[in-house]
Amino acid sequence: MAVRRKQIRESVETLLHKFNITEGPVPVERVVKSLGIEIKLDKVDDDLSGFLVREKKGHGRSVIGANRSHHPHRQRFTIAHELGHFLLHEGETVHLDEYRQAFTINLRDSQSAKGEDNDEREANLFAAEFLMPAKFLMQDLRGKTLDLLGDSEFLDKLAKKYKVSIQALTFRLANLGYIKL
Amino acid sequence: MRRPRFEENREFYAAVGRRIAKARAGSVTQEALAKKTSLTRTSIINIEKGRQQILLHTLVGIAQVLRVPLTDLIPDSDSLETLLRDKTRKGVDWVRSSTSDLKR
Repeated sequence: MAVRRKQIRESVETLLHKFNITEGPVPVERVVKSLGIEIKLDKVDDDLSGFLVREKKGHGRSVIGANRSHHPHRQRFTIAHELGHFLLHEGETVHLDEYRQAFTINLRDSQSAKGEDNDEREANLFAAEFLMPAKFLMQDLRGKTLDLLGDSEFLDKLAKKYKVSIQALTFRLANLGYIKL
Repeated sequence: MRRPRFEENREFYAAVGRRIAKARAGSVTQEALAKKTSLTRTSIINIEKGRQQILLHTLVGIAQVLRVPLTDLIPDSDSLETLLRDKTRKGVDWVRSSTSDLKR
């Protein structure tokens, strides 16, 4: 299955409209909580980034967890990533995002066989779209035809405005065709 | 390339092993269980540690020897060990401890 770009963009636009968000930084925690999802921030091992649990029994509560020992900007991305899973991958009741350096290659292989790789890509795209909406960036970049990659001060300011990492912003700008990596 | 065999489904088999060890504790020794199931003690140790992926007929044999229902030895299909069977122990433990008040 391919990444559902259009559906992800629409889902993000619906959220931005619903919560009347018109500029960065996008209040990801407020949106998540307003959707009835609890947020748990824990200091855990660096390899662990986040999780999503949907309660099947009981009151049907949902919890998104993020690693409190990571940089706040990364936590925001993690929470947005898990929100992506919540909205896009309904069949999944428990989801955990972790990294195992030693098994990365094999892991990826095993996951793509089950289509998990695609889910991860969709959740990442959702997080990028949600935290750095294309429309908002267009405003910020209006009239900017300079070499963006060379203007580190501008990129730094933009990343701070959206409360994302420089890395996430650079990747997003490349994805939108503003820069070439 | 496949992942090493013990990585795949590791948490699931670790959970099976813990269930066997718990059912065996205080009643049957690893040595006795090995003898009655025609396995080596090393195999029993590895199965209980989740390092060996147990065959179904072996599991049935172990349940018979330990006189417990077979289902006592198998994690529920909606348990964290089953749902997150390819993740690490520390990851599964994090989700469990952080959502212990939820009814899954």
